[in-house]
Amino acid sequence: MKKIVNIIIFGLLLLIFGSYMFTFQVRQDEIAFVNHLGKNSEPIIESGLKPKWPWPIQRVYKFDKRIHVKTTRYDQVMTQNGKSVMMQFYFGWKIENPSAFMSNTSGSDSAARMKDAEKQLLVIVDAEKNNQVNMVATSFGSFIQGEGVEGESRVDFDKLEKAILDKANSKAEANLGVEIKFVGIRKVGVPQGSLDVVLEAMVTQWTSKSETEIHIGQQEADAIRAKARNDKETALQKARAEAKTTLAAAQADALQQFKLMEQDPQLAAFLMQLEALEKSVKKQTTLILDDSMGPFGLLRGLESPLKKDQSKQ
Amino acid sequence: MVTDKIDRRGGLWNLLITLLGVGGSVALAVATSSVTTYVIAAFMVLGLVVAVASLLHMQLREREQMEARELEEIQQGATAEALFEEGQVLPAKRSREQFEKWGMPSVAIVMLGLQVYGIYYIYTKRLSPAFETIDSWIIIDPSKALFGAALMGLIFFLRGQFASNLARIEKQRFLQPASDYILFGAYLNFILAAVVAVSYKDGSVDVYVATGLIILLGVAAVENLLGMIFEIYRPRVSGRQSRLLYQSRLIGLVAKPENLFTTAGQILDYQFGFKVSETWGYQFLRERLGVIIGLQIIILWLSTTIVVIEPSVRGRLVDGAREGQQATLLEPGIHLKLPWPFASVERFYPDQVHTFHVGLEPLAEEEIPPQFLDRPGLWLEPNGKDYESKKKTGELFFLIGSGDQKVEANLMVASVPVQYRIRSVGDGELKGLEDGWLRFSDPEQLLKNIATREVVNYFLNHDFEELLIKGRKTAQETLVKNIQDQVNDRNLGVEILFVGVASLRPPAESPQNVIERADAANPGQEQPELNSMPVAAAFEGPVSAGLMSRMNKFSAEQESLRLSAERTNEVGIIQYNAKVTSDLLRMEAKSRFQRQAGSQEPFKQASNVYPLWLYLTTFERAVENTRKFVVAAPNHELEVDLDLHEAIRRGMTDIKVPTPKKK
Repeated sequence: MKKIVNIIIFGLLLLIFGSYMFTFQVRQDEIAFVNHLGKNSEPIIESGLKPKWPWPIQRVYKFDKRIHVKTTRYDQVMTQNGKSVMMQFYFGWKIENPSAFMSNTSGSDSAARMKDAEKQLLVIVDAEKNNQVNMVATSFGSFIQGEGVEGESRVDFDKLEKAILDKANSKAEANLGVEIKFVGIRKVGVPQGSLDVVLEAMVTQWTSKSETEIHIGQQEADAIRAKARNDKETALQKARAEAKTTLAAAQADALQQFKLMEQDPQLAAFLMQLEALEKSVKKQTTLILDDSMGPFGLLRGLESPLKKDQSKQ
Repeated sequence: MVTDKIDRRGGLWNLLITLLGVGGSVALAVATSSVTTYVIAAFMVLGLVVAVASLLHMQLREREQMEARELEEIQQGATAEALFEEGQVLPAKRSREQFEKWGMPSVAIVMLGLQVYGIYYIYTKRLSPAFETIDSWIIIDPSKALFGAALMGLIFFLRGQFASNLARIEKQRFLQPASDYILFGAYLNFILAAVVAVSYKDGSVDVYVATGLIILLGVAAVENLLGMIFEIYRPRVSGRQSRLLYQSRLIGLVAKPENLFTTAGQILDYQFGFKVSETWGYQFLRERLGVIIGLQIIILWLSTTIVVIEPSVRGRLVDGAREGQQATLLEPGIHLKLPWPFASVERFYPDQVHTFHVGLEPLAEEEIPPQFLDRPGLWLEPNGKDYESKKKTGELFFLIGSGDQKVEANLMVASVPVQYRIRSVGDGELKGLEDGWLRFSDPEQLLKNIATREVVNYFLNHDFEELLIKGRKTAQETLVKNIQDQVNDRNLGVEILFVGVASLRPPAESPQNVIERADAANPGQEQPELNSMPVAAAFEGPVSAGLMSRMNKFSAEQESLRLSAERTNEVGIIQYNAKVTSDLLRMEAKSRFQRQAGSQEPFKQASNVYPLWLYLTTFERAVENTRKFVVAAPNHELEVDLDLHEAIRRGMTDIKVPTPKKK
């Protein structure tokens, strides 16, 4: 029993290691090459389990034929007027011509060859990126849509990406058997050495903005106050003038009445005196009268002094 | 005299095999850059030293035994009196003794030196760099490593098993150490083969296993050192076998784990007071342990045929042995597949919402420094993943418009979360997991790049005021649309759910401290005069200034309202007074006139009585409420004192005071 189990275990191990040594798998998203004593086979595109001789007689290179994405370094690119801008790109690439890819890349295994291909692609894309950015940009400000940048002079992402793609792709196809499917701008920034200058400008911009804001606010407040005072003064003056006019009109109206009263001035004066008397003698007034005043003449007898007064009148 | 059985040929074989092991493992280490292989090479070098030392020891011992036999024969045929003392006629014995006295400690010291240097070299030159790049760690040319490890393991196992058993059965103590090392080397190579196999899936296993083996090498070094120290204090008895300093008990234990059972059995026997080691269960476990472990390995391997896909997860089964279409999408549930490595399953989470950040990634809750916990997040106290390194490279800052013609650009720090979902299946022109996401070797990286591009492009077209104040909602909607359009153009099979622009802020750095100046350490050099105010603080200036302005305007408006109300009131009063005065004037004039007109006729008709009547009635009315003093004494001079003070209001004296009631 122990021997059988040992044999089974040994057999299984042999199966696993044997299958590794004498077979290889080509998956549906892979391309394979079999190197027989230094000579490469035609590319194996059909997927499935394939036989092979163990290393060192045969060795298998397998490459992923899906689209690979590579991101460039975030580095400094020179613009046409000598200023620089920080830029990072990404691109997608795919093995288009497996034989050309195999013959134009180097490395001890598949991963090393893929790395080598990426390294070569980076060189191509970096070169084209530098050329194209240099042609269209003057500084990092060229990428900004602002008041200082005219719409047409601003760098268009799509056009720049397409220009780089066109140039880089032709070289990649010819040199490596690889198709660059797309190129994208990942990031645009300010070179590290210019960060302080940009931040200084920002601080100055916002400090002066705050000062302007306070100044404008103060002016507006002053204007509101001055307007309110003026409005009040004007309205009062106007009201006073109108009041004078109203009074003048009333006096004019009263004048007509007085003119009519002027026709009998004696009666008018008598009535006004009577009214004045009534109004002027009010409560808590102390009068010291003698018997010649008012009806008090009666105190001297029945002959009223009024009769004398009336005869005088 | 005790006789040792010597097998010089076996020792030579051990030497050749360990030499092969050193060559093979060094070649593999150089070719594959596997850290585990480097540690194995270090063990193999130690094995070679042990093999050389044991072979030398065997030779000396064999010569000594031959010499002893010769001496015995001479003594049998000679007279009772020896010509020479024994010590003078046994040079081989003296050589062996000298070797054990000086040679063995020297070998142990050399081994210790090799162990220490091996640990130092592998830790500093191989293991530390490997840990730094553990996420992308790979074994170069793994098929070569697998083949080499399996081959060496097999050769070592055959020789090690044979030699070790032979040494144990025949009690060849000089053969044992190198045989143990060879058997141990076989196990190490099997481990390496397993590591290489797993490294196809995850390369970091190489680094972890190497760490474990480095620790084992360290333990062996400590054992070696302790062995040497104990040897100094060990009493030396003439004729007693010396301890082999180059023999490692640790290696022997690992190479022959059944020795563990012997030790464990002795301990159990002692503890329980009866022969536990002779029971059926103990014997079964001892004899069949290997089989049980083997069966478990097979069960483990067979278990790779079962795949469990959990809810909200999709599996992509790739059957590498099948021709043509190899991939099948697995729905949640239990599935069967070919065992590893013939078929593999990748898991995806298409129905789940995934999130990544463009720009500064916020710290996870457990990563937030204690001083920032339970505190509001302030612009002037920034934090985030790799904040300092991103600041140094400038990657922290996003370029945006300034909104001011005189300023070329502004910088902003942003952390923009993007949430997305992978479509499990395509919908019309929109691709899904199989025909979209899986077309790319690293689709998540592509999605991150696309999102970053769109965010950067959007920021370049807008300024702070638009991004932070006016256009947040528009920004979110536009970014979702732009990213979705780009993703659809690339047929990525992803649905963008949300883009957040909440965490945008001006830099917390000042112009003075944003760059670490190299000349800061050089006090003689002139520094540029730059503002020390953080940009975030300067950004808050217009905000507070605006607030102050608004307060000022508000105060002015309040004053204006007050003045306006005063104006209205005062104007009203003036107008009212004018109107009333005018009306009164008119009315008075009119009433006078009317009275005069009414009195005119009676005045004419009764010119005496009517004025008198009018006078008296008016007089009566006028003086009704006055205090009157009438002086009616004619032609007399009167002197009257009048007190005109009004002490009390008139009329008050008329108040009746009630009389108190009688009880």
